[in-house]
Order: sequence, then structure tokens, then C-alpha cells
Amino acid sequence: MSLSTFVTTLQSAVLAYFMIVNTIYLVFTVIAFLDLLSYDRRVRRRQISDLISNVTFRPISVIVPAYNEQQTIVSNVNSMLGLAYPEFEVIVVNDGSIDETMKRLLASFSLFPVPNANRQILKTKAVRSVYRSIDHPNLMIIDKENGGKSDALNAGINVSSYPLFCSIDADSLLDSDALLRIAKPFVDDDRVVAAGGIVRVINGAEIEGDRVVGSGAPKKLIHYCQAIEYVRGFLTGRTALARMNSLLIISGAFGLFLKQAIIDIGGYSNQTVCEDMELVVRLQRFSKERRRPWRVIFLPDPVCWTQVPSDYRSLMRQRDRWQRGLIESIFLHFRMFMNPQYGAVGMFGMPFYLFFEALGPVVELIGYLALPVLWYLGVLDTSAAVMFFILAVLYNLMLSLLALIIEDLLFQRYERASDLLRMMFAACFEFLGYRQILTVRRAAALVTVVFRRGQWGHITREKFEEGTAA
Amino acid sequence: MTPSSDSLLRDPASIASNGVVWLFIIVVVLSIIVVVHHVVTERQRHLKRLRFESAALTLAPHLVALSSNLDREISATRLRCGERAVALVLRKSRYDLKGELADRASTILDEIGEISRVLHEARSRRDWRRLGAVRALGECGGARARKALIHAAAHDRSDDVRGAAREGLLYDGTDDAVRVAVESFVKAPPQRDGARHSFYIRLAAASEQQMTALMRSGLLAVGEQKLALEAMGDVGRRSTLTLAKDHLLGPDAEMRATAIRVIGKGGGEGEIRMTIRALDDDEWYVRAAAARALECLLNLRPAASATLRQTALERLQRRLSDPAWWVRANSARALAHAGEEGRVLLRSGMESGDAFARDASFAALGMVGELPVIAPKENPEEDLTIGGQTLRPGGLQA
Repeated sequence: MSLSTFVTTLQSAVLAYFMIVNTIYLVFTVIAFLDLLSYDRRVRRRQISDLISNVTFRPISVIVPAYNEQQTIVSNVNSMLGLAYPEFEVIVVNDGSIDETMKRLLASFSLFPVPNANRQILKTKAVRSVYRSIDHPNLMIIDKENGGKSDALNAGINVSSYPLFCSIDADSLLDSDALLRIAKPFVDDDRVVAAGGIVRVINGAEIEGDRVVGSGAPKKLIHYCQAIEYVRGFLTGRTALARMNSLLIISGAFGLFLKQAIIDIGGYSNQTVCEDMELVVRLQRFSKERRRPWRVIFLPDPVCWTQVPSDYRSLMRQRDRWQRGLIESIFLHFRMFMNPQYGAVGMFGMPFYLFFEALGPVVELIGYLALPVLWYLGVLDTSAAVMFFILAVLYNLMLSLLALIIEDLLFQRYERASDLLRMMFAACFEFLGYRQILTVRRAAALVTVVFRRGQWGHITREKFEEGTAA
Repeated sequence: MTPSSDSLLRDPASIASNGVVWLFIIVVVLSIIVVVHHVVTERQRHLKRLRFESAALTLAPHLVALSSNLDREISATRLRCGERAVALVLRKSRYDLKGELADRASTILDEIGEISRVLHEARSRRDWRRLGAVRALGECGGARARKALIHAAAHDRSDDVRGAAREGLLYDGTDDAVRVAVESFVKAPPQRDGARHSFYIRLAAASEQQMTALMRSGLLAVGEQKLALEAMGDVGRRSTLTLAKDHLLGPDAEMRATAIRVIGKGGGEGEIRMTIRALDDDEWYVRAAAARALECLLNLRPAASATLRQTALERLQRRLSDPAWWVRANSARALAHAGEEGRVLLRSGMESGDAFARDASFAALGMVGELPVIAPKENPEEDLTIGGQTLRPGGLQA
């Protein structure tokens, strides 16, 4: 086979891949639209007081792992303490921070130390001190040695009192009714062991008293590219995958879990850099292997607002970590891949995540790199290449617009028309540079996983300011 | 995104350019749809919100004050804000209205056509639409609405719709309505515990007599009786105590625990003795419930005789050494909230030879602010001393 034939064949494969993956995303969009429409009519339109009678709730332990979160920790804890839910506790786990996280907590919440008489159900690094608050009886602070996010979450699980626990990132704020909405499925269906809510970008939102009171499109281009990604990813991708019982991830920023189920599978693991995904994959695996009728679901209406990286460096690190975590999680549980024993998760979920999420950036990069080679070999049809590129951009723009239509039809979070126009502009710009930069980094993550294990890296946090978030 | 060779596609550039044109058209159309939909619906939502707020602000004072001008104000508001806005205000406020005013609100809703509109929706084939309509009928009230609710509770094919109809009937509160709701429930009870619990609460609030009759009818399994008893305790009817006492010495431990909880919520001095006895139950959760119940009783009935009170506190102090954590924690908490007499016992618990008792006492005293707020140690190796006790990581050391 000559080189030109080889490269041309490779390009054909890339083209076919492109068509398959985009068709799948279009199908996801349709499935998600129908599912969300039904959900909207059945659930979302009802008053929250109708949804869950206050004597039928199951109390929740809200666990907030924190490492060097001095900028946002006090706002975050205040936000958690103000949640509308009949009974819950907030457990902040200071994971050996080296900044002023602990000092700011002590200064803000009237803490006093209590004996650490808790069972070590899940093994963790040593807990140095445990504090309670005089002003907030349902607040507990764990000060422990650094062990990573998964270790911190396990420590929180060890001290939690309630049958459900919710993991929240320390740089996130919840809508006040988020817990009520995300807890409802656990009342309706005993099989539900994990539920994820939607994560939205807080950059650009109006904040008042540690609560998001109005959403708006972000101001910086990097923020609203991420915002449109989140809207598309959560409203179409996660919804469709959950509908097909193939959901393999619940965002670490906001998820509610049945504590006993997580304990049964051994808690969070530090074997990957994305403990949130690995946990859900392991839940799905355990449920099939032990024949437990567990369900992992996604809900579009409980909202968590999170800060997204404001600079490209932090963004690259974040996406690199996500990609590494994805690949590590898949290979750690590779036994599920195309294995009928694992049902839809094994036969569809795992292949989808492997071929399209994990290897997608690599295939895309091959497509880009093959272009100059084809040109050099004289077999490149330049006009066709340009046309296909425009086709790809328009196709993805169409998917983003469909996601925005779903957003506007059902959720109407962006009240101003100008915000919506900005999001549409972001959708245009996303595929003209932004996506390509991320593609390169995500493809490089595969190399990192194969040749060396990286860690979290540093992401610059910004403080929540009253008014409009930066 | 890249062209393949001519051997694979006859005219890739032309195919791609056709695709681009079509996609471009689709994208433009979608963009227009997004923007137009947003502008139109946002304006509608805004107007609807303004009308509702205006109607609510105008009518609320007259509703609260039972003003004689209410009818006139409603007529004027209908002209200014529209009938839907007025209907919404009356429906939402009707739950807080009683007697003649509630009937008057139902009559007005009928006059302005709201009940007819909702009845039409209640005939929809779609479950979610009927559900919304049945809830609205519950809000509207009145004879026509009641008749439709009775029909829905007895015959609708959807569990959710029947459940909503039962709620509406229970709120209605007339004997016939409650009877139909109970019959509907017994015939096909909801699968979810929460929904059944919610029904028992509403039934207990609507009709104590019918709730008691249901409890004694033998139609409820033991688990259901527990749920029902708990619900009655939450509502706080006097007859609940009689039912609870019946179960206090029964063979089912969970039922005993439920009975104790109910007694704790609504009991009096007469119930303190039986609650003290429950502190010696074989099952830890019954003892824990007894400790919690005593906390409520001692606080709710501070005029209980001094001897009885002291007996209760001493028995709680003994439970600080209970093998079960919840029993210790609840007992310590009960002592902490029992005033100075309880705290004296807790302070002596901090010097006990039993580590369980010391820990429980320490935690409870901390909860009521008896321990000072302190900063963490600069040196993790350094011990902290509080009130004669040395605090090291891992707990108190004598």
C-alpha cells in the first residue's frame, strides 16, 4: 500500500467516524428533547411543595471537600447552610489545606472541637480534629491530613449521620431548592442510588447573599464557550445517556448518593484522577455483578453553579485531568466493555465513552494532521477540505442551537435576549479555535495516561463577589 | 472534516458544498427560532407575572381583612389584570380561606369560568394534563369540583391523578369527600411510602374520626399502621395517644419505637412514666426514641412534678453508658436541654470512669455552648486542655 493510499484511507476513516459520532449526538439531542419535555410536564412544573412532602424526605449529609479554597469556602458553606431542605447536615472536609481555608472557617462559624469518635468505615488519612459550630448545629468541620479529594469524601462519609450524602465542590453554589429536587427520586424509587444534577457556569451570574439570584451569560469568551459546552453536554448528552441507562458519570460538583451503596462498593477510590466518574462506573459494575437493581439517573432541574477556569492554562489542566480520568476509569473497568452481563452500560455506554469521548480527540487530531500530508502528497482536494470543515462547524453549531432551544423552551435560565445571543455567538466561536486547542490537550492526555500518571494541577479560583460574578 | 479520495466519493466538494448550504439554512432558521421564541415567550411570561403580581397585591388585603368591598375589587381587578390572573390569585389563596369566604372564592371561580376550563382539561387523554387539572380542581373547591374529584379518585387510570384527587377531597373535608378518598386509597394504595405517609397526614388533619376508624379497621398491615401512627403523631391529635399506648407494650419493636415517638410529640405528664420505662427496652432504637421523647416531654411539660422530673433525668444519665451510640447521644442531648439540673448531671458525666459517658457528655455540653470556642492548635502534637480534660486527636484522654 502506498503512502498516499494509506493516508487517504485514514482520512476516509476519519470522515466516517465524524459522521457516526455526529449522528449519535443528533440522536442524543432528539432523545434528550423528548425526555426533558416529558420530565418538564410530569415534574418540573409542579410546585416544589407538591413534589416532596416534608415528612417523607430522607435527611442528607452535604459533604464539601476543600483543599486550598480560602477564596470561596465561607461563601460556599453559607450557601449550603441556607439550603431549603427539612433536615440535613453540612460536613466540610479540610483536606490538609496549606492556605487559610481552616482559619477562615474558624473565624466565621464559631467552631469548637469535639472528640473524633467516628467509625472508620472507609479507610482514610488521619483526621486531626473535628469541629462543630455553636451557631450552626448542623455544621461539622473535619480537619485531616492531605489525601486527595476521594480521601476527603470518604472521611466525610465516615462521619456522616444520614442515609444520603451529597458531594459538592467548595467552589460551587446550589440553588436553594436543589436538594429538594435532587432528593425526590430517592423517595419515589428505592432503586435509585445516585443522582446527578445540572452544573451551570456561575461566571456572569448575579449573586446576592451567597445565592445565585439571576443567571446571565458570562462576559469573557473563554467562559461562555464553556457555558455553551455545559448546556450542550448536560441537557443533551447526559440526559440521553441516562435515558438509555448508560450514564457513566455524575459530576463531582453536585451529586446525591445513597450512602450504603457507596460503602458497599468501597467508597471513593484514588486510583484515578477523576474519582467521580470512576465511582459511577464502579456502581454500575457492582449493580450488575451483584444483581442489584440500582439506578443511576440525571435530573435537569436541580442546579449547581460552579466556577469555570478563567484562563487557558487552568482550562487545559482541567480538561487534561478529565480526559485522563475518563481513560483511566474505562481501562480500570475494561471488563465491562461490550460485555452483555453489564447490559446497556457495557454494550453501549462503555463503547461510547471509549470510542467517542476518549479516542475522539485522537481521531480528530489525526484528521487535522493528515491535511498537510495529503496536501504534500498532492491528493488533497482543497475546496472539499474547506467545505467539510465548514460543514463540521455548521453541524456542531446546529447541535448547540438545538441545545439552546431546549434550554429556552424548558428552563429559560437566560432571561435577556442579549445573553442568548452571546451564547449563540459562543457556539459559533467554539469550533474556530477553542475546540481545536482542547482537542490537542485531550489527545495528549492519552499519552500521559499511557506513559505517566499526572495529578490535579492548580486551578486559579476567584472569590464570589456580590452582584455579577466575574 | 477532510476529503477522502475520489475513489470513495464521486464529488466530495459538491456533496460538501450542498451540505454546507443546507446546514447553513438550518442554522439560520434555528437561530431565528431561538431568538423569536425567547423574545415572544419572555414577554408573555413577563406580562403574566406582572398581571398576577398586580392582582395579588390588590386582592390580598381584601381577602385577609374579609372586606365587604371584596366583590367590587374582584370585578375591578378582572377588568384590569384579566380573569386568569384573578383566578390564579383566588386558587392559590383559597387554601388559607375558611368557611363562607372559601365558598365565595369557589363561586367566583365558577362564575369566571375557571372551573369549567379546568374540568375540560380534566378530560384530557394525557395523564400529566389531567394531573394538573385535578390539582387545580382541588384548589378551586365547590360542588362541581368536588364531584369531578370524586369521579377521578374512584375511576382515573393514573395513580398520580387519583392521588391528587384524594388530596383535593381531603382538603374539601366534607364527610362524603373524605369517605371517597379513603375508599380510593384502600382500594389501590400508592406504592411509594412517602405518598402513603402524606395521605395519612392529610387524612388525620381532615378527619380524626375517619383516621382512627381506618387504624382500627384491620385493613392496614403492621408496617402501614406504623406509618399511619407516625402521621397521626405529626398532626397531633389527642386520640393518637390512645392508639399509641395500645402499641407501647406490643411485640413489634418498631411499632413500640413509633408509639414512643408519637407519645413524645403529644404526650403529657401521664405519659412520662411509660416513656421512662421504655428506656429499658431490649431494642436500642426503642431506647433511643424514648430518650428523645423524654427530651420533648420534659421541655413541653416543665410543670411535671419535681420527683418525676428528677427520676427521668437520672434514668437518662444512666443511659449515657448505653452500648448504642444513638441512645447515648439522645440521652445526653435530652439532659443538655433539660435546664441546669440536666447539665449538672452531664458535668458529672464528664468525670465518669466510662469513656462513652464522658464523650457523650462532652459533645452535648458543647452543643449548648458550655465549652469555649477555641482556635486549632498551632502544633498538632500539642495537647489541649479544656475543663480539666486533655484533648488529643482521637478523643478525650483522662
